[in-house]
Amino acid sequence: MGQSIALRIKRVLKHPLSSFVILGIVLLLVNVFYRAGIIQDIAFVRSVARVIIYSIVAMGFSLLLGYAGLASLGTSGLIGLGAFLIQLTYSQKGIPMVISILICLVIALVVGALIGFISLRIEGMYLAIITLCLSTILVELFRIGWGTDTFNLPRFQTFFGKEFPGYSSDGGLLVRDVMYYILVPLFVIVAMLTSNLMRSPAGRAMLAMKDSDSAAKAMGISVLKYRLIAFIIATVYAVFAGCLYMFYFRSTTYTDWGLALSLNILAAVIVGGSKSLLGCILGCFIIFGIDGMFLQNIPFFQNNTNFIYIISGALIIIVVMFYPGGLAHLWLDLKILIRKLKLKWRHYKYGD
Amino acid sequence: MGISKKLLHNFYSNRAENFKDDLDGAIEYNEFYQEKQEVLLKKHYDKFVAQEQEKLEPIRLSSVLLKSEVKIQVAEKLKSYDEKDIWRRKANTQTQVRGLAKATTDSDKQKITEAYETQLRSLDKRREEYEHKVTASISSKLQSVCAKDEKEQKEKLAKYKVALAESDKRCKAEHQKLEVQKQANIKVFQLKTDAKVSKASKKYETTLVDAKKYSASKVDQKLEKNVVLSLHNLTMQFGGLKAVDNLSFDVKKGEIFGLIGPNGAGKTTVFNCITQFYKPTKGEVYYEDKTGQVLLLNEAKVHNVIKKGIVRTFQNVELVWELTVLENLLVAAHSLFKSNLFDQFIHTPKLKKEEEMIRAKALKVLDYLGLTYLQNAYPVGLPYGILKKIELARTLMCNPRLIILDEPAAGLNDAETQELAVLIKKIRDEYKVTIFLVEHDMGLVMDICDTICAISFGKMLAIGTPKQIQKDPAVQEAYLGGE
Repeated sequence: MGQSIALRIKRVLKHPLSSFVILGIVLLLVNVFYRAGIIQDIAFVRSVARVIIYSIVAMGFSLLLGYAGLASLGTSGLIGLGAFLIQLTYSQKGIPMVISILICLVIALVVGALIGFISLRIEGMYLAIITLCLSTILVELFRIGWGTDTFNLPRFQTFFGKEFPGYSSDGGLLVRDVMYYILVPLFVIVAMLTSNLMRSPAGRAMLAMKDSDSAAKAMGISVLKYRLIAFIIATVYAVFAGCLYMFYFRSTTYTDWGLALSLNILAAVIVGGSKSLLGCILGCFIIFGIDGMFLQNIPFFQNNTNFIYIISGALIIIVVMFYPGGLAHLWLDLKILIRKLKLKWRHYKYGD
Repeated sequence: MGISKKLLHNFYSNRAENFKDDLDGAIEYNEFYQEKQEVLLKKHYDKFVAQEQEKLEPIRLSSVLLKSEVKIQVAEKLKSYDEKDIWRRKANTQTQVRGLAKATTDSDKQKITEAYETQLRSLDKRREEYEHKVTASISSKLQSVCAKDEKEQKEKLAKYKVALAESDKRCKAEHQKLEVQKQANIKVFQLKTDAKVSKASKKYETTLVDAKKYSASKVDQKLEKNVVLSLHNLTMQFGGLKAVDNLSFDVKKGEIFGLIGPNGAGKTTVFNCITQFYKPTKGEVYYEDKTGQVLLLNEAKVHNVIKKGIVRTFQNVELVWELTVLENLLVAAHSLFKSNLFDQFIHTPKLKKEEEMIRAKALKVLDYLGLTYLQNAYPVGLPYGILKKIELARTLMCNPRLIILDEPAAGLNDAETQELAVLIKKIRDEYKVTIFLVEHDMGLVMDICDTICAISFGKMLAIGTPKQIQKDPAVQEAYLGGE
């Protein structure tokens, strides 16, 4: 009986989606530990939330770059679009949270389709330049529309018509905690959906399209359709992440959404492995997370705040040179290494 | 007015195509369902038989003598013990070898040999102890069960035979029951499919009528009997260069048609015009589809050509290197998937069903070409001949009627080319398809083609059987040069 339970657990773990559920549980525990006092620093939880939010962007980006083979440098502008649309709908017009997010997603759909149409004519580096321009235009629009101030989202008083749990300052859960508990399940759901898409005909069609346009067409794959789909998904994820960013961090200025963020996300996807979702999440953890989670407590890094950029730059060089598949390959290589070592040991112990 | 008419025509013909897809899909799934039921039946039956045998086991035990049964069971146990034991012995030998290689003095060597022998003795002892232990435990377990003397054994044996016959009967009855159940399942599913098919076909016909109402170009062209593909005055012009010049020929159903010509004669351009990678400057490409309807291919989009049953390969192998061989075949069957993006996000049962069916089909194709052992391998680094075979396998995935091969033998050695020739003929006969190929290897072309068309600088030189082409003076001139 005990053996059968072990087998069953093994079978569940073999399912490709199980890893995301486990990751989600671990992420939820972070906030639980913070409340329990095991993690002392609120900056740690905030860094984890930042990693989660940018991971959502990175997943869309990995679909775009790793699967459809389209490069884009306009990601940050799209995240900013989400954040500023929330500013507009939620805090200025007073539209409820869920509906304002839905409005953002619809707008993202349209914007994504527009960029997708552009991508039909332009490829490679030129596409990256065009998306960069679009992103710059968007950021400039934010500056014109909202000025140079930092915007703060008003505190939620109510949540789905009810008084926000523990809103009063005397202990209990804080608003950010509740947002964190909403954030993690959303992240897990998005990861699962993306993983599903990558393992279905659409994902395979995108890979075929990336390798050779003409072969894809000969196999009945409409290049137009799948490029559009890739761009729309990437845009919707970016805007959605922007909304979540706004609801969690609750403040933004237009300078947050410059080229640096786009490049950081590109770096995260490349370091982690552009075809592996877990790799992308790992990349985001390295690029966005390590700094706030661990390094801030070390005096050297407190004095040299920009030193992290040197580390991430060096990491990108190393990965691109030696691990073109990203850090996700490390796991596979490790497995192969272990198998080889085992064989060697066998040879040593038992002879031929 | 013209634009709206065209839009309406496109709308209705797209709808009609979708209904047609539904229809084909339902029929195909029905076939797959029947195969699946067969597999399920076997699985259930095997399970039942195993259960029956488990039930029979005590009766069988009671009908045998204790000694012989213990002997058998102990031998089994010892066999599994020996499988592990052999490694211990090997390790022991290896230790000795290693030690001897290191040792320098004679006394050291002697020590090592002694250690080896003591270890060997202890292993032997361990095996003996194990045998004793197992014998004791098994005989104590079987003592009460087995027959004590020959007289009892005879009685019990008769009983066992009766039980065996009964169980055999039960198995047969179960098989019959399962068979009946299977037939019923198939019947029910058949009815469902029939309903679906009749519904879809009705819709298909009505939409087709609608589409025809708005159709701007009338394809009145009747192809001659048994002709699948027909080119009419095809011309393809790149700037000032006429790559294909007024080319017309017919490809008959079920034949292997070869297109030959010197380098730069425009053969690949003809292919690209047929599959709509290039839109011909002038001239028409007519194609008779599965239902016997004549289509003007010039109007079709590149990615829709495959839906009409025309599949092509490329000169250089164009596989998806990041997917396994099996997944490559699934990509090739992309036009068979009908589930929409929502299905793919959620992995609904509909998609799972489709995926299961197409996976089974891909495995069948791989089996047909003898590539099953490669199903989970990545194509990177496989020999060129096998890559070409995988390309061929891909063409078989999407119910083709016309397979267009662009230099299938390029880069293959003689043996592989021979194999390919046999394979192409086999595919033509078993899948009942027409094959249209461009090839430089004259041996292959003359060997397998029924009709050959020779072109030079985009113009037709000659068309006929291989023998006629070989004798043709114009062809000889083009290949060997004039006076």
